[in-house]
Amino acid sequence: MKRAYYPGCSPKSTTREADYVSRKVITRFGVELVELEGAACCGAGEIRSTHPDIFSSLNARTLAMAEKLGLDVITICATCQLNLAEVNKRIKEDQKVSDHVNQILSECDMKYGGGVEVKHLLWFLLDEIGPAKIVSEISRPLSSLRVAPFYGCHMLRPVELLGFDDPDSPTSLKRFIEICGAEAVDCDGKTKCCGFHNVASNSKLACQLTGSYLEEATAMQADCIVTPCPLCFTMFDGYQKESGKLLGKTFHIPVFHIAQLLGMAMGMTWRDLMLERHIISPKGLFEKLGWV
Amino acid sequence: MNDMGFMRVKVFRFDPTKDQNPYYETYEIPYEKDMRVLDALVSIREIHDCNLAFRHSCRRRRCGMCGMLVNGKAVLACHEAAFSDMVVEPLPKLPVIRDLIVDTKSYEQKINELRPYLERKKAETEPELIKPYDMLPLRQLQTCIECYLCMSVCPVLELGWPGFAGPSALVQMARRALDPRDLLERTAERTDNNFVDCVSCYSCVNVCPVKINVLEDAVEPLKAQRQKKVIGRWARFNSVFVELVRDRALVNPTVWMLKAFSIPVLFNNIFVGVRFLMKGKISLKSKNVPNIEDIKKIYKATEVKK
Amino acid sequence: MHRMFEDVMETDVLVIGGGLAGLRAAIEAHDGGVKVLVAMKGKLGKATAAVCAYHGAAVGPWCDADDTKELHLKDVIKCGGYLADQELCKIMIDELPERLIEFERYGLFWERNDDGTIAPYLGSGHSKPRTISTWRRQAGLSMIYALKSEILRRRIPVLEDTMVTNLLIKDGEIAGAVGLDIVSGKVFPINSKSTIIATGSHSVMFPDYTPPPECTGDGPAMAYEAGADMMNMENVVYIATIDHPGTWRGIIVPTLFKIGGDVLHLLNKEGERFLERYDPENLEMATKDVVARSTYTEIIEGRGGGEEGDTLYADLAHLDYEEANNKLGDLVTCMEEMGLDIRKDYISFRPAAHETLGGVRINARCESTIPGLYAAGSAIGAIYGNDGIPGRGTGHAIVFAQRAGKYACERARQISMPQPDQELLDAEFLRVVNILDRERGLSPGEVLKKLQETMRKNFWVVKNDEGLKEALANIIRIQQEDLPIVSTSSKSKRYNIEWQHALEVINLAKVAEMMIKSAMMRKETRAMFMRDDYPQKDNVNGPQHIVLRRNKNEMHLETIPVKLTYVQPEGDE
Repeated sequence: MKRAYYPGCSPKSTTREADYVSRKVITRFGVELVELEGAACCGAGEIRSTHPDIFSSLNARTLAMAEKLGLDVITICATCQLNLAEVNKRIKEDQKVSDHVNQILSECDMKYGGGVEVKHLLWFLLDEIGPAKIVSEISRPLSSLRVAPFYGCHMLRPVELLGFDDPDSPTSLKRFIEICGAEAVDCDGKTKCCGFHNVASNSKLACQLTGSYLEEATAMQADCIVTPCPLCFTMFDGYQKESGKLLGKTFHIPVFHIAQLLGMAMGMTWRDLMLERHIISPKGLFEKLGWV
Repeated sequence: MNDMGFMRVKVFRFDPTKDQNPYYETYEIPYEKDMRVLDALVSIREIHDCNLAFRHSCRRRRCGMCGMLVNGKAVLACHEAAFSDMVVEPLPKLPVIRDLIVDTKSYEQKINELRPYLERKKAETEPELIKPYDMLPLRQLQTCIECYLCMSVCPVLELGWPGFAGPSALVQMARRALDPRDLLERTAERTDNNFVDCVSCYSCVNVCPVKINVLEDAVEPLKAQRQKKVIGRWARFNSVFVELVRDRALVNPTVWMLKAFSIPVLFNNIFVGVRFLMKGKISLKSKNVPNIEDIKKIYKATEVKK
Repeated sequence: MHRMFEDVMETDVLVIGGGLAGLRAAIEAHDGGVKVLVAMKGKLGKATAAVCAYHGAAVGPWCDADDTKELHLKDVIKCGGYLADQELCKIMIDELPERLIEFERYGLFWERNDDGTIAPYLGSGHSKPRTISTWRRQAGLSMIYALKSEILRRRIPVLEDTMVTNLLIKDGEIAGAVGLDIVSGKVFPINSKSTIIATGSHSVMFPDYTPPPECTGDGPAMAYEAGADMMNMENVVYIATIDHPGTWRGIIVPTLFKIGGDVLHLLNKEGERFLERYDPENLEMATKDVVARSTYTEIIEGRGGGEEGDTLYADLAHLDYEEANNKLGDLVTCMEEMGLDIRKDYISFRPAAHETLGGVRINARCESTIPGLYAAGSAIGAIYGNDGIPGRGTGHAIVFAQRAGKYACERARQISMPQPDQELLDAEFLRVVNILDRERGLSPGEVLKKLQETMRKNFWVVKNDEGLKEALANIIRIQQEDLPIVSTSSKSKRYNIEWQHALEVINLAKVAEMMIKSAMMRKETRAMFMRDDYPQKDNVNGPQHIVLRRNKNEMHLETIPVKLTYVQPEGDE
């Protein structure tokens, strides 16, 4: 199996652990990954509002690169998933949009015909690799671990563009956690927002949103939080202390990207999982599990 | 639903003039094929308690009066399918007038603050010649029924964030701000607070019963419109981001923060920055990106496209 | 013990009802420089029948070069069975284009062609395309939204969740009204110099109806009690609506316009497109009365399907799906919610009561026969006759609302604030609160059901003397035996919706009585008014208006010949 790989921006800088571990985990299933070198940022929460043409064209270009290779795309970030899926759908369904975007792409001799599917790693694992195969690669089931899932808005809504899970009562992360052998802690806030896209313009608001889930996960006695999105990861891990300060609490709950959780269950080492880079160290957790 | 074709419905009841606290009552009613939540409520009124209070009018997603929570999900009772053992509650975070009726004055006020009427000159000739293309941004927004479901699910409103107008208010504002006939500098004269604090979580989009993409069709165009006139705290970050993508393809958040150079933001994030630095998460290097000229060409092409 | 009037409100012009007519009248009166107060039973911009309206129709700059107001007038009068008040109808046709265009000043946007001109389409019964609408055929919603924004701009006070229970009279003139604030249970008088009734229709007296549940004929009932002339009471427009679930029984299956060049097909249980037998030329684009008559007949003659043999089918498979989804969005979405695909499955429908056309009789100044009382919208005895050509509902509301507002304002500027008779006030107060005090008797819901059943049985698409007599006997019995013992199960004053329902059913019963008596007097079949014991038009007397008014405690009815000033029936019309 071969797939195009689009890690986005954050996994190439502050959340390199997400990129590195995702690749390790995917290739364990015999999937060959071709990284789309030269693909631009998906636009995050910024470009679409002020430069909708640039937003569509940059994402169409990424998709065109994959189409040229004849490969579907795997993403490891919720926002990348949403933005690519959105542009993909509009081009596929509206000839006017397709013509307009391809006219812009023709400036760099590129064209996108709508022949590519974009799937987030979480869905790819559950759907195309399948639970049985995943379990067969798990050597160290995470039993006795209580994991709080946090989906990230852009994995669930809008359902017309994503559609893998029910946006109001999703289950994919729960299934994933259970495949890894752990116990999924059902928090109401799992479908809510971490606030990452506002961390620059209003870090207080972002920390309030992040803190609200940290509070819930802590109250539910979760050992850790898992998320399919490196941006949510940045909030929960990177801004955990700030969120605590804002709410007048002290949190200590380690956070993992889904690739890392699976990597843990697959027996990857501390080093391979790049856990040294975490702000909230999972050291205590590892010790509790009896791992080195 | 049992064999006799009956179903159970649990309903929130509360009369603030009589009851100390709200309570829930479970009713058994006949099940009718394809019935809506509103059918269930009407049935409860007919069979069990004629005083169950709930709003409804058009019964077809046009008046927006029957918003309520069904199993925690904000829906219109006239449209949502009924199912057995459903729990029906009033919209959250608003004062309850009685049972399923809430006081939406706070939402109405938010809308009124944004001057919800068109300010225009009388046209020279009536009817005016207006190309449909010029009114395209308003098309889907025109179907808004002000049901306030979006307001109920907005996390920023839930936090009581000061000044944030809320999705429905922003839709009503967009219906004038994006109207070429409107004369006011609506986005420029508001404060950043009103819309910049939208977190793009799509909760409003997810819940809208008439399928308006509140975020992409109202909030983002408002933000963009404002950015053309006023350099508020968001605008600079946005323009720096756009430039970084052109120059480096990928955005390194540290570089972005430093380039946008906002003293308050840098100050707020100083501890985070130090921690990131210590964990090796900060690097200002950027890899050589192949075919980066493509991106510059795309930017140039879109500039010309007007 | 209830405390007598805690608040007394005063205004120059009181508008009862906050729908299309009410809001438009309020704006007009306000712009004339007087104080206006709107009292309505729901929330501003929401509790109206107009939100579901499809379109407006007028001869404006968007029409064909050879389209004229005379032609439009002819179409309307002909469709209405020549029962129109032709002078008032002419006023409506003359003023409609401006009234519709005016909405664009309030922010509305009529759908345009690519060249920027307004895009009309053909409505059933019109001889030329003159119907205009907004995106997704939601003209009503857009018009209400536009009016609401103008109300907010002018800060016109609106009393929401307030039912006006009765009018107040002083020296034979209307001096205001009594309101019930449903949220707090307060009963209070509103003194006003002019009062405009804009309370909408009274279709709720049938079990299946398209307007909202607020349409309980409060205005006509109050006007009748005050002694005003009522007109056109016997007329009701029947239209096809989805047959289930209950909530959706008011959703219209429209044959009013074409979708992408074709109209939906109506079929009986044998799959036959039955309109070929009733109107082979126009088929489903026939006027509403032909469609109503045919659907009724098909069912009565046993060609209806469903468990009880009372449903027919609409076939949309041949229509362009995108167009259907755009113009009939509600219908298509509801079908999909029920797991049906309009490209393959039929929509089952039945006739329902659309709009009731009876109400207060007005003159060109929207004055009723009682000084100080004006009326607008569906609360008026329809001036266009007894059937509804597309666009008449919205048109008739806005033209006469503008006039009502204007003339009500004029009167208010000329007179001083009246003080209603204290005795009347006290009597009304007691009448309203007594319902709350009564021991458990009948619930208003039970009485309403009885009323609906008898109206459905005996006052349906085709009537006859026997049925009407039975209906009348039932309605009289309801008024004499049931209504005096109607009570509420809860005595709480906080949003006691049953209390409102109890007052509404009294109005409905009175209006139903007026309707039945008027129907008994109309011994003919003419357009939408159909009787199987008088299946022909009364060509001896010609078209007659049926007018009624209260005479002490009796209902006095009379016929007035229609003045065929502008348009005369041709041939055997």
